[in-house]
Amino acid sequence: MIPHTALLATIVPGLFGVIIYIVQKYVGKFIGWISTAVASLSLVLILSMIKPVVDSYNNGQNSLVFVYPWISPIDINFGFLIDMVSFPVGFIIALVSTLSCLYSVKYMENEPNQASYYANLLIFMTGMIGVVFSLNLIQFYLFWELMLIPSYLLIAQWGTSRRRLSIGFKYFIFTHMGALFMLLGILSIFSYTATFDLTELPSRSSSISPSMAPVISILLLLGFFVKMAVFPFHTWLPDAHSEAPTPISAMLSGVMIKCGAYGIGRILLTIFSQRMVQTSDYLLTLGIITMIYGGLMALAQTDIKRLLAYSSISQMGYIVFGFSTVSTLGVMGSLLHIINHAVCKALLFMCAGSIIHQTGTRSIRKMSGLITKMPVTSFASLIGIFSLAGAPPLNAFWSEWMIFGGGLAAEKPAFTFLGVASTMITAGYLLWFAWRVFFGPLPKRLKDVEESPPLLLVPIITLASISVILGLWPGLMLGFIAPAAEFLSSFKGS
Amino acid sequence: MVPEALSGEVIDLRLSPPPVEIGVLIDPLSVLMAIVVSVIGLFVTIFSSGYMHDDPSLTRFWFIMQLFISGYVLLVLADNFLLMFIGWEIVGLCCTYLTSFEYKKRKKAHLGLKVNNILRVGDVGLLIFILALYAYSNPHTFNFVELSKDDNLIIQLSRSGLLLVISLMFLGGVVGKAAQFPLHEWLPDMLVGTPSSSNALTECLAGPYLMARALPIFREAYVSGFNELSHFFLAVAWVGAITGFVAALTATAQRHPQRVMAYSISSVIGYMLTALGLAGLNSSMTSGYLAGTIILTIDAFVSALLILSTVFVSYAVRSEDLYNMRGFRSRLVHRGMEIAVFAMINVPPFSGFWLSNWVQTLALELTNRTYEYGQEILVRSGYGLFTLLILTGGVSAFYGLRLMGLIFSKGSLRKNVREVPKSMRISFSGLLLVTAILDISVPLLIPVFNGFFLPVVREMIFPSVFEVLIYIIPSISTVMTIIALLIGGYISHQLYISHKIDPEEVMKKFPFLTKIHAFLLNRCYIDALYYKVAYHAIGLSRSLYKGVEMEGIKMFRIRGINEFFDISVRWLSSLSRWIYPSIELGCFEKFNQRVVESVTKISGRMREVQTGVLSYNMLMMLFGTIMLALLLFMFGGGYAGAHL
Repeated sequence: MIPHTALLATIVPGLFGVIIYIVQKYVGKFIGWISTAVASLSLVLILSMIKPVVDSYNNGQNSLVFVYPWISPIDINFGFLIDMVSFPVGFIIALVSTLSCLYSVKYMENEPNQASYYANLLIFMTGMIGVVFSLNLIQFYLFWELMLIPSYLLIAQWGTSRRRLSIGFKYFIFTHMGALFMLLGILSIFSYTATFDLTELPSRSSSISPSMAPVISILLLLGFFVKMAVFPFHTWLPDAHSEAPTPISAMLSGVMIKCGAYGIGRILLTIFSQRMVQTSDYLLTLGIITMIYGGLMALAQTDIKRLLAYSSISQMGYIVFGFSTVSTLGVMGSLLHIINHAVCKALLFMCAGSIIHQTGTRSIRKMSGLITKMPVTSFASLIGIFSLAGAPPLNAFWSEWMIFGGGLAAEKPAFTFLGVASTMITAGYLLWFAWRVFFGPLPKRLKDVEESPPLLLVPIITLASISVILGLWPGLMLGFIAPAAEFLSSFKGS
Repeated sequence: MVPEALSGEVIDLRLSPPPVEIGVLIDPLSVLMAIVVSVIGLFVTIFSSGYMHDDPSLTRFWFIMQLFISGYVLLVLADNFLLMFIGWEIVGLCCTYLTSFEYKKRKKAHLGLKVNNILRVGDVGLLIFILALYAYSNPHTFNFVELSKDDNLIIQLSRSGLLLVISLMFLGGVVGKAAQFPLHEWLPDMLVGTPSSSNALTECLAGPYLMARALPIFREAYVSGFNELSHFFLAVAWVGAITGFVAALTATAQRHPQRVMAYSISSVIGYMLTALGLAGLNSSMTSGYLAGTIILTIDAFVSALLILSTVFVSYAVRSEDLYNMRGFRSRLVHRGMEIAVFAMINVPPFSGFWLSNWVQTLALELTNRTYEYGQEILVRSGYGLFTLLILTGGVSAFYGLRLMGLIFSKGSLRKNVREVPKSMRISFSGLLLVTAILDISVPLLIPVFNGFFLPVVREMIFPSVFEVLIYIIPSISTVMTIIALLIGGYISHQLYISHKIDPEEVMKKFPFLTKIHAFLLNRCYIDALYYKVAYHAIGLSRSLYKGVEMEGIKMFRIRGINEFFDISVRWLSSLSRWIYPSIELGCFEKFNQRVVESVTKISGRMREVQTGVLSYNMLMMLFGTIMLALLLFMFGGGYAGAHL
């Protein structure tokens, strides 16, 4: 194994992003390709950790820890925690970011200020990978904010509508407020346990005063829920995700909001698992409301990207539902859904981007019968749509039944039935979307539409085939996620 | 994996044991068949290079041909049923490809579909047989050599009652591929559809080959007391004999030379299957097994020669109708056709005479059984098979001489005979030479064969040519064969060679002959029957779709459910259309807007405080200091940093 793999995997994109920005004159038009290469280097570095991670799990160590001295006077280390929980999430972040970067090469070729775009994209990627691989909470917060700033810039500068500045501002304010609540929670934890270290915190959680524990967990949940855009805190998401340039939408919707879900799994389930069990009913309700509300909102949309954005909100409801059951199966489903939704939603956003790129419109009302003109894009979209709707041979089917199976395992049949019922809305808006966009007669205006250029299709086809492969062979991911779910749900008994 | 390799770790990735061990089986049968296939393949390839030289899609043709030959060799050399089945399917697929080679012609594309469908019927049976065998046997012993030693397998199959069923399934597979009655109708279509030169590589021989391959396994089981297999062997023999007769009869009326070829091939393969079936039933397997395999070998060459000679003629006269070929002159083709046809119609001393007599002798051997309980059917079958084979010989003589008569007799051939390429001549004469040698020397070859197959048959019943002669000649069969040959040949000679009688006039005189002729010309209506079956199957599925799927289901629909769904969907979408503007935009977005507006308003107000007037600032500072002091006073120190 390469020394400092985790450090390199995290730092390389950001560092090269800065370097690319500095030497942009010399790089010229190859900047997109170089950025893709850098991003894929990070992906390869993460992949090279498969064997060590699996080995360390088999040896019973549970995690692979890289520690570097940082603020030594108060004994805070800079470190990376790679285990069965963080590895798959980190991998999918790197994968989606790399493909988005590749997608940008063609999609953003006519945009101004390319160097700045790619620098921001790479720093954004560093932020996300850093959040997932962080060993301690303060570092978690640092990367959390590092992820916010470049994404704000990306929305505000390369956004697609005139409102992009105010939308970016809204996104920034919302997420930042959430992050501040989270920081309060983190500091409160520190004040009781005197450590930020995620590997030590679960054993010290008993020192948190029982009266403060609900407050702290609510503070943390606020931070995560804002990031995940769970029901009352969701208003930033449809704007931000639909106005961002498409590759960035794929990253935002595909992986960034999953950092919140990862936080729930990593922090709340390990430190506050008792609270989670107690508040399970409320969180399940919140999850179901988010599912139904997001789905209903998606039904009402006529903008292709806005529909997908609301669909993301609805899907976050599924993940909240799974985590809230605090059962092994439910947690497994949620962790798997993090991966599967990332694949499918990035795929759908890229397909939407491809459609917008070729037809020049975003309105669903103006589209029809595109499957004859754009067969590859349409077919890939249908894979994504059927997967999210939970059609069996595709990947999201596995995570969805696990999530609801988890609800039954936690003995919450009423909530589970509501949740399963709400999947009808999911299927409804997705299939209606497919029907309106890809089938039906081809309007005259779209007679001359052609299939997207191959550079846009490569990431789309990659993601579609990953969706099929993970659907046919879920064991590929469950090999990591099943032990992770067992680990995360083992704390509630203590 | 580079980092692991650099750091010196060894990653050992292996496949777990495969479900089937595959391999190559080299035994007398497979070597013999592989030689036959590759030698004929060579001749056909050279022949085709001339025949096809001006075809626009040559690349495709050569691709299919080579795939065909390699699939055939794989079929022959495979050491277990599954691997063999792969080769089997490749060969079947190539048949379809070749039939639809000129796929732009609607009729040929259709013929390809038909060939594929009929072949599929047999293949399904074979696949069921293979899977059942696989289910009951150990993966490590799932090959031809071990299977015949595996008594346990047969015992289990017999106990579960499957033995007879799956052995008949196996027969179905063989019947499908070998173009036997009632699945023989694909062969005429295929031979008509393909570029004719490739026909000589007769894929149907894979059928009797498989039967010969599996015969020891069944025979072993039959001998060790599983009597139900006698039905299987009887079925094999009867299928062969019936096909021989029906196909020969059908061949008498056909006008397309390739169709005559197809029926003659089916007919000869019938002899092989009869021989192999009798091998299973008789007291010793040796004689029948040898007869089956030697007919298989010799006939591969004879049929190839016959087909190539008709293709030669059709190429030269640019026609595919026997009646347009009258008066064709070529000594080479004449000699080739003589050798092939005389072999086929049992003229002594050509191969057919020896071999068909041999099979008839085998059938008579069956009648030597004593009339015990259960043996009766065997004795009767012996007589029945014998009679049928003799009749087949007569009919074969008729259509064989008719074929030669139509081509070579005096006639008004159109003048424009095409020049035949050299490569066709060379390969034709090569094949002619090989076939002639084999054809004449059959009695001498039989002892060689017996020695060659010693590992399989385990006894030497023909140490020299004398035993062969003693075995075959002194029998009623020889007499009957020659009588049948004379009768069939005489009629044919009168009708088609010496033209003493005009066939048309005979038909007019005896109206029932016209009916029989029409019956045979229409291929005994078996083909039409298949079309009828397919037509009704499609009709049935259509009416099922219409009656059950579209109309019937509706009857069971509970009234109101549909409306309920409609209403709830409409309700849901109107709900979402209402919530989106009123709650999402009206509440959440408006709230956000209000927050923004009010913050802007407040900060606008607060801006007025920033006056820059020193005294105001001093006043505010004083106020702040007092507040801070008050706070400190009220809450005191001691808490901050307590836990740091």
